[in-house]
Parts: sequence; C-alpha cells; structure tokens
Amino acid sequence: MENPNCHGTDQLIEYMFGEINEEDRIRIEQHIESCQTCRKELEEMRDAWYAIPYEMEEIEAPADLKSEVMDSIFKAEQPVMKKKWSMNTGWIAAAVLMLLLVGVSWNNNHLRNQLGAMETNPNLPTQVLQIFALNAADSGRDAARGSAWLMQQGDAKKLVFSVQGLSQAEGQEAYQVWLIHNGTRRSAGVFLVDEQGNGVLTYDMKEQQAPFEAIGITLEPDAVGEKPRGKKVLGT
Amino acid sequence: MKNKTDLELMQLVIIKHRPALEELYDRYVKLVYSFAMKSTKDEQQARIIVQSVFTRLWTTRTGYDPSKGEYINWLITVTRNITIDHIRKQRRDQTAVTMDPEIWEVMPDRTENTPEHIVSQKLIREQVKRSYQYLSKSQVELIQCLYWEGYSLREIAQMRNEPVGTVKSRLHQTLKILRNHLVHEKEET
Repeated sequence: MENPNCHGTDQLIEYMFGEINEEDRIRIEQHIESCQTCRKELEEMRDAWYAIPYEMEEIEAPADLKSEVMDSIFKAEQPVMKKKWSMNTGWIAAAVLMLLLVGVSWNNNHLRNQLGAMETNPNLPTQVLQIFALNAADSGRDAARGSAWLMQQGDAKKLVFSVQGLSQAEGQEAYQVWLIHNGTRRSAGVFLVDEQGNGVLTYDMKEQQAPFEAIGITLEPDAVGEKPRGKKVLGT
Repeated sequence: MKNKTDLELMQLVIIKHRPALEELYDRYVKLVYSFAMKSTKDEQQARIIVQSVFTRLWTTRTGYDPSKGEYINWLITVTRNITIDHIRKQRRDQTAVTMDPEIWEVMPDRTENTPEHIVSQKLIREQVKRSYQYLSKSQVELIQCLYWEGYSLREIAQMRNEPVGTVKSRLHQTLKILRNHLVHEKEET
C-alpha cells in the first residue's frame, strides 16, 4: 500500500464481497487496473477464498439420490415438437420427405439415439473437431444464439446444432442452415423451434463435400428453398 | 462417457445428451453433496440442493467457459450460489447473495483429469486442512458464517455485536493465513 491512492485492505474486502456502493466499486476497479500492489493483494485473497471448500470432509451421497434427481430432470423434459402445423397435407408430405432426404432431425429423442449410436462403438471414439458459436445477426435480438459442433467418428462427420432464443416460425416458415464456402451457400437442413425457442439439428457431412468456413441461419418462407431468401437470424 | 473430459461432457449436456449428465453426476455428486451437507448440516436440504445443481447444469444456457478457469471451480461456484440462495430463503432473508459469480475467473487454468491434476487437487486439500490448524476459533467461525452459511459481513458484525471493521480485519487475517500456507506448499513442490 505504498501508493498514496491505495485503498486499505478493508475496502478491497468490501469490493471483493460486493458490499460496496456503485461509485466506490467503479473507483476501486479503476485503481486496481493500474496498481499492481492492490491487484496482487486481491488475487491472494481470492486464492485463499477459493481454497476454503477443499477443507470440507467428503461424504458419500445417498445411493437413491441419483434416480431421484434424474427422474425429476427428465420427467420435466417435453419432447421438442412443433405444434402449429399448416393443414396443407401436401406440403407436410413434401417437408417430411425432404427432412428424411437431408437427414435432419428436430426431435430430441432422435438426436439422443444418434448420439447414443455414435457413443456405443468403443473402437471409434467421437471427437469434437471444431466448435462454432452462433450469434444473433440483428443486434436488437441478442437473446438468439446457438452453437454448432463438428464431430467425427471414424470417417463419418456430423454437424450438430443447438440454438436458443429464436421465435417460433409461423405458417410454412422454417429455419434453414447454410454452410458458407468462398461466398457460396449450401443448405444443411431445416428445423423448427419449440415454444421456448430451442431447436436442435444434426447434419451428416458427406466426404466429397467441400469444406466450409462459416455458418448462417435464416428464417425462410418455406422449407424447400435451395438459396437463402429470408432474413439472416444467426451466424458465425 | 468415462474417458471424456468435463468440457466434452458439458458440450454434450448442452445438446441434451442424457448419458453425459449422468456421467457428470457420478463424477461430482460427492463434491456437491458434501458441500451442501457442510452448509446445511441436513440431509433433506442437501438432497434438494444436489437436485437444483444438476438441474441447473441440464438447463444452463451460458454453460461453462474453459477459458475462464477449471471446471471444478466453476461447479463449486454454481453449487455455492445455489446453496446460499437456498439457505437464505430458509432464513427468510431477502438480501441478495453477495459473492460475485465471476470471481472464479481468477483461478489458474489446468488440464483436467490428468494424474498430475488429481494429485494437485489432493495436495490443495491437504494444505488447506493443515492451514486450518493455524486459525483461531473466531477465525474458523467467521469462515463458517461467511463462506458456508452465506451471511454478509454486516450481518456477522451485527450477530457478534462487533464493528464491521473488526470483522473485515479478522477476515483479512484469516485469508492471509490460508494463503500463506498455500504459497509455502507451492514453493516446496
């Protein structure tokens, strides 16, 4: 505390525990930026604070607790399904056919089974090759976001998407994923989101397919387009 | 699942892969349960806390960011926030939890699941236990109230009928003792 502008350790403690008013908090934060002594003091106190739980005696949890916890979590899970289908049965048939063709799934159970299948082959470990963060294209809608994982098992590659915070598509609208390579976009499937705005999708990468460096997700007027027509909602 | 890292398991949990959550449960239930028991000293309360923690892992949107520190410290922070929240509600005390949830960022990053890492976790445990021998009764009580039971510094001062400044300097002394023993051990190894 050789610097005359330094705060006493009391103030650092108040700051560390958030028991401080906004004005003092900002002042101390600015000071810490430039004062190595105070920064070191604070780091040391935090190190000690973090070590505290290591003192506890470890106790085995009751054996029946696992099924209780898992039952409560998975009973609350609702299958992710779109409710408001259009009554146009021809369109539904076309959409279902297309979904089958591109190997798309928006059903959680299906996704779990697929992942389960990838998991059960002990000779071929699944590896995450790359993770893409998907952010809202429109900064006014930053609740929307998602992630994509490029996974490999043996020679098979899959792209797994998970998105949150999207509004439900209306009528025949659908969300569509585009893989972008040198400015050209190719479809990696369509999906819908549940009432909470969550959606998932898996896409099997074919070996002969060109690589891609970016991902975009648009809201399309229907599920059968080959080029983006709607507004971009998420992207890398 | 057994040979996956904590990070890989969390990535699978975000895409709702149930076996990944079960594996995380098997790995960490002892830690979460012991933490809750230390705080509440009550099995029923501890069971509720374990359920809330794993439900939070299943539903979290932001998840665990490995660039900010070790998984175990993130999990301890989540567990502590849920535990303190729970016992504060039990106390019918509406004061907000005072810990900054981002504080775990300062912990140095280490590779998980390596033998070295497991040894280092054990080492920290031994060091901290040993350093407790150097704490006075009032210092141990302060840690119990502040860390494990979630009372604020002001509440502790009131309960003990002491000026809040006294509590702050006692805390500073306590953290210094703990920290010094960690440092000495670190230098020896």
